[in-house]
Amino acid sequence: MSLGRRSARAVWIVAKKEFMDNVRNRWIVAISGVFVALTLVISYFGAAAAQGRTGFQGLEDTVTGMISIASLLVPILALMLGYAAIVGEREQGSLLLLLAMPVTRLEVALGKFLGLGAVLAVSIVAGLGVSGAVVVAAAGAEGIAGYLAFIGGTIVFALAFLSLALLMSTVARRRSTAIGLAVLTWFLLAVIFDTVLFGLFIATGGTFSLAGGTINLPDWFFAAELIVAPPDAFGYFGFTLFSIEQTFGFRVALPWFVSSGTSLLSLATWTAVPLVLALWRFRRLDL
Amino acid sequence: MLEVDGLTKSYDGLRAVDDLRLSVRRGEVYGFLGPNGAGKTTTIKMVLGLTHPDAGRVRIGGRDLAEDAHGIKRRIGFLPERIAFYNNLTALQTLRFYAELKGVPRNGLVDLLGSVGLREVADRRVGTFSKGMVQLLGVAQAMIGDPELLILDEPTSGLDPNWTRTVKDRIREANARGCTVFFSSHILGEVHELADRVGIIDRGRLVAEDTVANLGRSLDLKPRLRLAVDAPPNAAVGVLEGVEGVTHVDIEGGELVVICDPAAKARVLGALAAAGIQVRDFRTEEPSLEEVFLRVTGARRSVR
Repeated sequence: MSLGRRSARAVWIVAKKEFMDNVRNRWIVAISGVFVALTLVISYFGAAAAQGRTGFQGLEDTVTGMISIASLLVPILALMLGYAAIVGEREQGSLLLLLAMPVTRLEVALGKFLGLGAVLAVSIVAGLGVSGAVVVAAAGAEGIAGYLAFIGGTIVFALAFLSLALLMSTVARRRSTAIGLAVLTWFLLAVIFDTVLFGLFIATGGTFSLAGGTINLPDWFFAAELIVAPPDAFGYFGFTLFSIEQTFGFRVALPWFVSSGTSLLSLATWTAVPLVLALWRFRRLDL
Repeated sequence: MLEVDGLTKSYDGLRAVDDLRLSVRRGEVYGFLGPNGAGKTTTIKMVLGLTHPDAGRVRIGGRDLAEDAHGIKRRIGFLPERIAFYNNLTALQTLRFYAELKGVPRNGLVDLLGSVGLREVADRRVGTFSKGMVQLLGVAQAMIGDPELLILDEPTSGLDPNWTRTVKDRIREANARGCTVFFSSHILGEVHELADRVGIIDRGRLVAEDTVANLGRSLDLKPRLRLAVDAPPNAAVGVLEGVEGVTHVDIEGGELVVICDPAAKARVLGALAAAGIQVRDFRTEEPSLEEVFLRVTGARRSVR
C-alpha cells in the first residue's frame, strides 16, 4: 500500500529532524550526562545517611535511591524537551511551511513525538547504561534484570510526560503559555499531588498507624496514586520490581493491585491518552 | 488548475473571507490583488489546508486536497507571507529537509540556491540571514522539484529592487516552463507586470476577476489623453470642457490630462487647433490597474 509507506516515510523524516536537532544542540549528551552523574552520586553516597558509609551500593539499592529523584527529574526533562515542539514552530512561523509540505498533521505530530521520544530513550539508555555498568563493576551484577526493567520503565515514564508536553504544545497559542502549563503540570503531578492526597485523607477522617513500623493506608489511596499521578506509578513500578518494602525507614504494605504490571499500564495510559488528545487538537488547529 | 468555490471564514464574527469564488487556469499567472487585510492570506491558507474554512471548497487539479494530501501537495510550491525557517539549519540543510519531505532528489539544490543568489551562503545558518535573504531562500524552497502550481503570498515583500527583479525573473521562468502561478500582492505595478489575469479581493469578497484590459473595458474606464501644449494649460482647459465626449480635464505637471471617449480624441485635437493652441506632444494612456483597483475597492481608501 503506497499510502502507508508514504506516511511512514513522512513520519520518519520529521522524527529524524527532531532527533538530529537535539544531537546538534547537544541535548542528548547533556541529558545522558545528568543521568550518569545522578545515578553514580546516589549509588556512591546513598548509604551514607542510613548506614554511615560510602561506596557503590548494589543495583537494587541504587534503584531505590534513584526513584524519588528520577520521579521529579524525568518529568522536567521530558517537558522541557517537548513543550515547544508545536507551539514554538507555530509562533516562529515555520509550521506554516511544514504543513504545506506533502505531509498530514498526524504524520507531523507523530514524527515529533517519536523523534523526541527517541532523544529521551537514547539518553536514558546511555545514561543509566553507563552508570549501571560502573555499579556492576564495583558492586556486582546482582539485580541486573530488575535494573534493565527499571531502564525500560523510566523510558515509558518519560514518554508519558513527553505526551503531556505535546498536548500543551498544541493547546497553547504561545510558547510562554506552554511553559506555564508545563510548570503547572509538573508541580501538580510530581510535587504536590501526594501531599494533597494525604491531606484529603486526613481531612476526611482518615487515620493511619505506624504500629510496628508499618504504614497502613486504605486501598483507594494507592489506587488514586496509581491512576492520577504518573510519578507515583513510576515509583511503584521501581519498588515492585525489586519487591522493595521499605521507604524512608517505614514498611509500606501495598495492596494486591499495585504491581509492576499495573504501574506500567498506568504509565502507558498516561502516554497514550494525552498523545491522542494532542493529535486530535492539532488536526483542528487553524494557523 | 485551482478552483475556489464559496469559501467562507469568520474570525470572532467578522467575515475575513466571504463566499469567495475564483479560478486559476492551467499555465497562467494569476495576480491576487487586494488592500492589506482584505483576506488574501486567509484565502491562501485555506487553499493549502492550513486553515479550515467554515464553508466552501477548494479543488486543485480537479481534486480535493483531502482526497490525496500527499499527491496534491507534492506538486505545489508555496511561499508563505513572512516566511520563517529553522534558525539552526544552514540554507542547504533547509532545502534538503523540504526536498526530502517532497520526495524529490537532493541534487540540484545548490544550483537552486544559486538561482536566487544565495550560493555563497549555502552553508551558513539561516539564523544569521537578513530578512531579504530569508525571503529569497523561501523562493528557492518554493521551486523545489519544479512544482506544477506555485502559490506565493506577497513574494517580493521585504526585498530591495535587485532582489525583487530576481524573484520576478524566477516566477517568469517557472511560468515559461509550464508552471501555473497564483500570487498575492498589494503592489499594483507588480501585479500589472506579472499577471495574465487579476482577481481583486476586498473585504473578503472577490470584486473583479479578468485580464487588466478587460477589467478596464467592463468598468467603462475611459482612456486618458495626455497633451503638452504651447499655451498656458489653464486656457486650454476652458476650450476642452465644452467638447462633446470629454468627461474630465485636468492639469498634471504642466500637461493637460483629458479623459474622454476613444471616439472624441480627434475632436479634442481639432478644438485645440481651432482655438489656435499648438499641440507639441500627445499620447494616450490605457486605463491603469490602479484605476480599476480604486474603482472596485472604493476610492476613498488609501492604496500604496
